[in-house]
Amino acid sequence: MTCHDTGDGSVQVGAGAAGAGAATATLPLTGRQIILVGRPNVGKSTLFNLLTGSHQKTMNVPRTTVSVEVGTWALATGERVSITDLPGTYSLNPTSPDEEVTAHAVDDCAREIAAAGADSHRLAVVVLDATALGSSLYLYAQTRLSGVPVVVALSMNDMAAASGTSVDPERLARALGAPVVPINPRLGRGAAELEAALDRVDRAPSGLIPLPIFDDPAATSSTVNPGADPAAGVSPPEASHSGVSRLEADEELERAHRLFGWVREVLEHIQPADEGQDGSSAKGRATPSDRLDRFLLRPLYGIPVFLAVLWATFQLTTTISGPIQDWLEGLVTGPLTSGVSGLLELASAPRWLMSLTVDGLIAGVGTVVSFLPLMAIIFTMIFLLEDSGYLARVAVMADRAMQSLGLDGRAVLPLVIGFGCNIPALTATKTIPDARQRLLTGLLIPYSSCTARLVIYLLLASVFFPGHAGTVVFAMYIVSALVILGVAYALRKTAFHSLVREPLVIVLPAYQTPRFGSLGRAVALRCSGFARRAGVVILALSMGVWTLMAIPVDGEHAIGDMDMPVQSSLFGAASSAIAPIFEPAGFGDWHISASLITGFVAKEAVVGTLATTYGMDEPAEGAAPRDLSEQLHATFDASSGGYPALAAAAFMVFCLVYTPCMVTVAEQKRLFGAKITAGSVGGSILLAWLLAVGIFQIGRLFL
Amino acid sequence: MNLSNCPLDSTVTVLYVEGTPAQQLRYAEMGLLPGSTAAAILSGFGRRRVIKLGAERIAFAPEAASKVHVQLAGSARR
Repeated sequence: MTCHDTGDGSVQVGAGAAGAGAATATLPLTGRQIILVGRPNVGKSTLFNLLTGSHQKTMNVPRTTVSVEVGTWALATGERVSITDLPGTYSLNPTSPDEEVTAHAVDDCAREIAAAGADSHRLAVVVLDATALGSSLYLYAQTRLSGVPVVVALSMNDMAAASGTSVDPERLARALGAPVVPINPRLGRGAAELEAALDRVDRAPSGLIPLPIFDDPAATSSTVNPGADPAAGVSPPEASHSGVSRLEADEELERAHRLFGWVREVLEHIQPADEGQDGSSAKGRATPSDRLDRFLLRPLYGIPVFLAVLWATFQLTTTISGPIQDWLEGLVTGPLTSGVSGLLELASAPRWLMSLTVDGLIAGVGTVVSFLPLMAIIFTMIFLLEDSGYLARVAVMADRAMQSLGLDGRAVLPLVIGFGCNIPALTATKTIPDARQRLLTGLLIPYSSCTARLVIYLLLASVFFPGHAGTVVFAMYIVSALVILGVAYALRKTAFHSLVREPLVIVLPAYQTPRFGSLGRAVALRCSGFARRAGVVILALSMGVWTLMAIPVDGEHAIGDMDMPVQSSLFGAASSAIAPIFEPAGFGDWHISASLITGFVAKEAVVGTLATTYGMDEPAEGAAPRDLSEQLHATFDASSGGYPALAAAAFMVFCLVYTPCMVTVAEQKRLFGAKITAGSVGGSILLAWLLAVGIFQIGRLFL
Repeated sequence: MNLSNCPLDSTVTVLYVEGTPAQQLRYAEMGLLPGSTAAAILSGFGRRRVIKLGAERIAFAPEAASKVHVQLAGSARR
C-alpha cells in the first residue's frame, strides 16, 4: 500500500507500487501524512474517530478485498492532516491480507522517507495498550526499525491504573526514545498533546533515539538509556525496514527473540517485576474481565448466553425492524407518492413521466429508505458486540461449528443473521478480521434462506403440498444449509484453495462498556455510506425494471401506459423470451419467469408478480386464494407435463439459490467490488438452474 | 504436557511451540516465547484454553493449544 505524493498537492492511496494502471484514490495533502499502527482492539479506531470526526471515508485498497479508513484531521493551527487507520496487526510479518496492507503501508512510507528525507512529513502513530504493554511494544519496535518517525499514543492507561499496572509516560518515553502521549479517545482526551508531539517529531525526526537493538542485534540484555533527552540530535537510525519483511521465518524467529529481549528490558525499567506485567502477579489479581470469562467461557453458561445473543440479533433484524420498515414503506407509497402525483397532475405532466417518477424513482428511493432502519439496527448490534469485547468470545464458542465451512468462528454471526435478511448479514461480515474469510462468508450469505423467500415457500407449499406445508418449508431451510455447506466446500477446493484456516488463536480484549456517546455518529456514518453506495445501484435497477414494464411491444399502448397488460410490455416479451430456459426444470412459463425477474428486485415481489401476471389482486399474506391457486396449478401442470408438485419444488429451490435481491447485490458490490459480485450472481443463477433441473428431471424418474 | 490437557486454573511456563518456523513465529509474536513466559490458565471450553499472558487473555482452539508445550510453574522439566 502506497502513501506517496503526486506532486500536485494530493496523495494517492493504492496497493503496491504506483504506476500506470494502478487504481488509486486521491486525498487532499496539506503537509503531514500520518498512519495509525497498532494491534487489534487497542483503541486505534476510537482515536481515529476522535481526530477526524465526520471527515473520513472508507476506501478499498486496490487489488485486495481490504478497506481502510482515511480521514482528515483539522489541527488547531488550521492545517489539515491526512490520517489513515490501518488494519490492526500483531506484527509487521503479515499472516493475512489485512496485515499485509499494514505491513506494506509502513514499508512504503519508510521507502519514501528514505528517498525524501526531512521533507517527507510522513509519520506513524503507534497506539500502545497500557494493559498489555509487553505485546504492544513488539510492534512498536518493528515500526521503529522500519525507519518511520514514530509518536506513541498510550491508550487504556486508566484501565491499567485500575488493575494496579499503570505506566509512567515519561519513563516509557525515555525507554522508547520517542514521545509518549497518553490518550483517552473515549473521553476525547489527548488530541492536543498528540498534535504537539507530532509537530515536534516532524520538525526533528532525527531527534528520535535509536533503539539499542540497532547497534547490537544479537544482545538480549541490551541496556536502555534512561537519561537521554528525546529531543537531542542524534544520527538517524539505520533504515533496516527492508530487512523486516524479507528475512526467512526462522531468521524472523530469532529476531523476535531479540526484540522480546529488548521488550523485557523496557518492562523491567518502567515497571519492576513486583508491579506485575508477568503471569504470576496477573494470576493473583483477577480483573472483572477474568471473572466474566470464567462464567461466559464455560459451556454451561456460555452457550446459552451465546445463543441468546444470536437470537436477540436475529430478532432485532427481523421482528423489530419489520414494523419500522412497513411504516416507512407506507410513508413512501402513501403520502409521498400522493403528494408527488398531485404536483405532477397540477403541472399537467404526461402519464409516462408520472409513472416514471412514482413507479421508478420513488419506488427505488423508497426501497433504500425502507432498509435504513434495518441497517441502523445491525450497525448498532455490531458496534455493541465489538466495543464490549464480547464478539471475540463468540469466535471462540463458534469456532468448532465454523470449522466445517473452513471459516473463522466470527462468521457464525453473519450466517445466522442471513436467515433473517441477507443485507445486514453482509454488513456483519466486517467483524471478520481476515479479508479472505470475510469474502468467503460474503459469498455464502446469499444462500441463506431469508424471510423474504419464506413468502414464496408458504404460497407454493400450501398450494402444491397441502397438509405438509410446514414440513416442506422446514425442508427448504435444510436445503439452504446443505447448499451453504456444498458451496463452501466447492469454493474451498477452487477459488479459495490457498486459504489456510489456521487453528484459532485469538486475543480476548477486556470487556468494556460500549461507547454510547460514539454510537450515534458511528451508525449514522455507516448508514449514509450504505445509502450513498448501494442506493445508486438500487435506483438504477429500479428504473431499469420500470423501463421494461413501460415500453409496449404490441403497438396498441403508449409508453408508460399504466393500464397496459404485463404481457404487452417489453417486460412481458422478455419474460416470454427467457421462459424456455426453465422448461427442463418444469416451469417454463412466462408468468413464472416474469416473477423471477421481479424477484431479483425483491424476493417478496415474486408472489405479487404472479398475481399481477394473472390479472388479479395480490393474495393476502399467508393465504392462498383459490383463484391464484388454481391458476398456479394449471400453469405448473402444463409446463411440467403432469408433474406440478415436482416442478413447484424445483421452482422453490431455484428461488432459494438464484441471485439474491438487488439490495443484497448492491451491498455485495459495495463490500467486495463489481467483479466479484458479478461472478457471485452469475454463479448463483447457474447453480440454481442446475439444481432445479436436477430435481425435476431426476424426480420424474421416480414418480 | 501441552496447553490443551493442562489443568485449569494453573500456572505454567512455556517450554516450546511445535510447528514450522512460520507457525512458531506467529505464536512468538503474541508473546509465547519458550522459557520466558509464565501464563495462568483461566478457563477451558472442552479442550479449548484461555490463558492470561501478562495482562492479556489469549484463547486457543484445541489444535492450537496442543502445539504449545508447557510445564507447571515450579515443577522440574521432564
